[in-house]
Amino acid sequence: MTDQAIIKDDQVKRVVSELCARHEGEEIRYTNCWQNGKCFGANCVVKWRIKDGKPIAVEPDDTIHPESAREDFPEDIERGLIQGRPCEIAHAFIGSINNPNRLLYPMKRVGERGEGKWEQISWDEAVDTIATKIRETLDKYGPYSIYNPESAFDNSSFPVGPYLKAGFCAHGSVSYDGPLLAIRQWMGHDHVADFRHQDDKKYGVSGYEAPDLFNSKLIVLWGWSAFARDYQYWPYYIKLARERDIPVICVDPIYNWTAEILADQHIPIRPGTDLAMMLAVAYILIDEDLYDHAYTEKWIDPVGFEKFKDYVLGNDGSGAKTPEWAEAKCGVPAETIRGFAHLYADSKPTHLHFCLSCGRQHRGEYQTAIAIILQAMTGNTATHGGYHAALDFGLPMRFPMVPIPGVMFQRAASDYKPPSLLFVTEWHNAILLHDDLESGKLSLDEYNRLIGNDPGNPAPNIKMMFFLSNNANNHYEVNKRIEAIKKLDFCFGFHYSLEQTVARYMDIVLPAAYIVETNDDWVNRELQFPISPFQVSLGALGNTLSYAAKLFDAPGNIRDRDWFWTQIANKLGIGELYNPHLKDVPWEYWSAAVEGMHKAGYDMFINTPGIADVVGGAPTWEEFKQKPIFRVPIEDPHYAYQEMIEAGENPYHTPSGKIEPYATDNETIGETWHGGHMDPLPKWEVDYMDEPPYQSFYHPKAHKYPLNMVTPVSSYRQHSLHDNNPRLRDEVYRHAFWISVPDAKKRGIKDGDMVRVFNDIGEVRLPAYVTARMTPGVAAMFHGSWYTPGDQKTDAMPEGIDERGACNLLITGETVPHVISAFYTNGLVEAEKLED
Amino acid sequence: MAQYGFFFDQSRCYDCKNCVITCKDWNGLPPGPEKWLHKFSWEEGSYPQVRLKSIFAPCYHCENPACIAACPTGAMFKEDEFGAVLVDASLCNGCGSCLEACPYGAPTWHVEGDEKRMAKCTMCIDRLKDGKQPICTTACPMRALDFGPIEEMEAKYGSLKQLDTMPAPDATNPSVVFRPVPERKQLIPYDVDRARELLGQREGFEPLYESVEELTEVFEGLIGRDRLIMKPATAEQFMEATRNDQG
Repeated sequence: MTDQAIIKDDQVKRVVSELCARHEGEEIRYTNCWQNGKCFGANCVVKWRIKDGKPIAVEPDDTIHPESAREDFPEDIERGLIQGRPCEIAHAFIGSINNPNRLLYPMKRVGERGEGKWEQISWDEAVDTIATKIRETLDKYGPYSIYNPESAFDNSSFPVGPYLKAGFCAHGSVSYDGPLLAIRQWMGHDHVADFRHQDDKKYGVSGYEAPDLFNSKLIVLWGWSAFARDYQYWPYYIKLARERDIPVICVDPIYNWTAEILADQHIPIRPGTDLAMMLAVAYILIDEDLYDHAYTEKWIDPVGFEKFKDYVLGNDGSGAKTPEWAEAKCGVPAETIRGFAHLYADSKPTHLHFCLSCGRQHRGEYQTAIAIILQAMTGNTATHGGYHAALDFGLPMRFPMVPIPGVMFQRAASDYKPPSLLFVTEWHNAILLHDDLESGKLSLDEYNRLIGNDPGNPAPNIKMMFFLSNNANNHYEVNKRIEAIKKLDFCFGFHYSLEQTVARYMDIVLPAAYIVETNDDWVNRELQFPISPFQVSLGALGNTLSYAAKLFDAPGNIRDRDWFWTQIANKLGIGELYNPHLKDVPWEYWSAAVEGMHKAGYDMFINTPGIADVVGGAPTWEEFKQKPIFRVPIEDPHYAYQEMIEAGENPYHTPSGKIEPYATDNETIGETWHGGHMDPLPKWEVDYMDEPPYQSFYHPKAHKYPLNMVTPVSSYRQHSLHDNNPRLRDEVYRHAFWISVPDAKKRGIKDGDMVRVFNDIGEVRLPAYVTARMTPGVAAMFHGSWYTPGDQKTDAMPEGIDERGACNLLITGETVPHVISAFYTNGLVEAEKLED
Repeated sequence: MAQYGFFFDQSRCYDCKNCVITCKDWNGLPPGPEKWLHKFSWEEGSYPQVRLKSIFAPCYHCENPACIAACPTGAMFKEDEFGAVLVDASLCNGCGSCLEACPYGAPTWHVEGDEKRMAKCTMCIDRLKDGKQPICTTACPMRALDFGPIEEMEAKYGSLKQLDTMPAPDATNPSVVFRPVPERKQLIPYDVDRARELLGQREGFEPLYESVEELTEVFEGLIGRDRLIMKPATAEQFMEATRNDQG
């Protein structure tokens, strides 16, 4: 070697060895990322690098097809055997864990609510205060005075409630919002009853597994931005389907990445006008006799179908719903609607996925209902390559559920059944209207009607609340929610930062652990195996089982939620009922004790006859912990209701026993189910209202606030979690107000300008994103930014104008006279450039 | 000398930035403009005829690296085992010649107090030494990336070395191949002129725009990312160019 070459050789060795030294001596642990149970489609495998009890980095999944970037294994892909690659949140997770603004100790409020004055307290003081308040509140105001708004599926999430004979729950959110209401009324699948085993009907498994997309002849993504993180496997499989020459159409008001990368063709549409276009598609299918007669005769109620046809054709005097009728409403040319109907009728099976957001608006259940009806008319509801269009929950269990009595927590049974006393997003009105109930200004019936409580039920009297999330920020009418919280006698919550909107108004804030720092349960489950934190994905692919262990200690003095509730139970004298095994376990031994229970559950699972065959072996607990992932091949990808269809059973529990284009149950819904109107037909105009849906593109309020704002979820947040992660916000994305070219020009706004976005109920300030990707008249603000009050206060913004961009400040929640079932995600707003 | 290189499938990428985030996580880089891997995205066209595009830009570890030729101190060098272009921090004087010379703007400033020196994508040579892939390629949720001996990449994916308005590859011969987004298909008829007419009207309201030009004509600066700029002039512009608005 020449001298030069030797010098270079030394240089290479030195530089490379310095680079290699950075990750020496790290421990590797695998887990999943089931932080709030929200990523239904995902069961990502997250590989953590840990050193000295601190997280160093996150690597992608290499538990299958290691070091294969392209992962081009067609046969495994067909069988769902692919890596669970984590999303950007997982790879940026350490930014949240080590966030300098993270809350590390229990805090007590010392100023006014919202003032931001806090004093650190001990866990003992926090537990003492909260237990005393629980006792006082129940003694003074009765069993329906303590509420947690994160309840779902008519399930109370007040852990110690059953042993105090107190607490109540709510319907809505993931139970009966617009989409699930439509599924219940028009298709006869009551998901709440199904989950809660509340009736004796047999419901089918309504989901599909991603590889079934390869059986489709046409895929329609209607309003579905499949790249939102919730659906990790889905976009990949849709892309692969397209690469296999299966045509994909995307219908959306925004030219998003789904339109660019997943779809062959994008059809722009105005939000909330999907119903008009779909009625026109139905018109073509009926008028040109293109619907599937054999399927229709078997699965659609013939009486209701005639009523539906009369409405669509206009035989009832309502006018024909032709493509020409629809085009001016939805902005899609008549020729295109006709072309869509023809392609749709010719492409069998068609997978039509109608997004939640299209149903999560006022009268949104009609939008979901028409999608369900179209898929039934074309014979695509429950078949390989098809789909019923609406939301589903659950896939066939590729892992047997093993009941494990005698292990786990052995919480005592309770005969207390918490009643469902309001619509889940209406808790603020339940508080704010309660004075009117007490004063007699509102009768009990009227009060119940306005909060979505069933006629004849007792009224809730909410005086104390607790929060496990940033709930008040994440639903419409944020200001009213804050006003309601301020009226409470007491409130507390588990939070990650004192800057989280709802934390600002708590009396006591407890520091919350992230999933990798705790052994807590993340999803309410029955005591069966798999049990949280052993997770099986609920969507896309249900063939992976993984376990989320605690990997390292949280910083500061952050403790498990269940440790806290156990201390509360002890203080209230019900420890033996709530947590007999662990009630006396001190905090230092808590994690090990809970893991011992997980181990006992795992041992029972893995030693159950037949299980080892399914998962391919029987690793010990220690072996399993090293690589806590089981995958089983999918030989026949599931389609909705497959088992029932193949067994000759009927999955549709409507009065007629078929899919009902005319939902007969809706005739009486006003008397039977928390009041209000709902038409049996998915009508563009309804008899009980003389105006378009609230906050819609054509509502008269749009004269004053002309921009119809939609609020997509972001792949950089889980609802609002991680909004302050410095590795995400402002680093890889800008949170901005999306506005179309003509709308921006008209207002003198250019990209990057600071704008005020406002209406009667709120005002937020953020930069503008001017883009040719938006339908004119439509705007967007991604959901989940934390409302951050500034110094300037107005009548609409009594806490201060928002300086961060929380969309829900601008979304109202009016429903009446329509049935209360909404979960609003859009609003009408105006935008103005702020002077420099 | 071996030469390894990247494959980027533009038709699969939705600009989630997972590759960038995981690169920073693995390499311990703080939030801010020290991004060893740059991810650009931009829009083209006017509604409703729009395209979205993105480019994956780590260092392409060129066959004839302009940065090495420009470096006055010998801090920039190319190693033989994988053909990675690396920087020896102990020799870097922070003159910035390499950044100026690189057509893709790959070298990136590492700032510590008043000290400035260059840092860059290492091809994850520490992982390659362990028989692994670079962290970015295996993190992509759409499997849009690949990495290996460049001949292997070319045999699998072809030899396209330039996307959209990127600099031509002739001078440096970057170790990368691309697959572009395909031309748009039209499955069903869509008359753009008719659509633009309809989208300007709102039944019962003032028109949303009087003339189609309101929709189609834009002035400089109205839209932020409307073209590919691989070497933005300032750190602020660089941050803007490597951010998206998906949150």
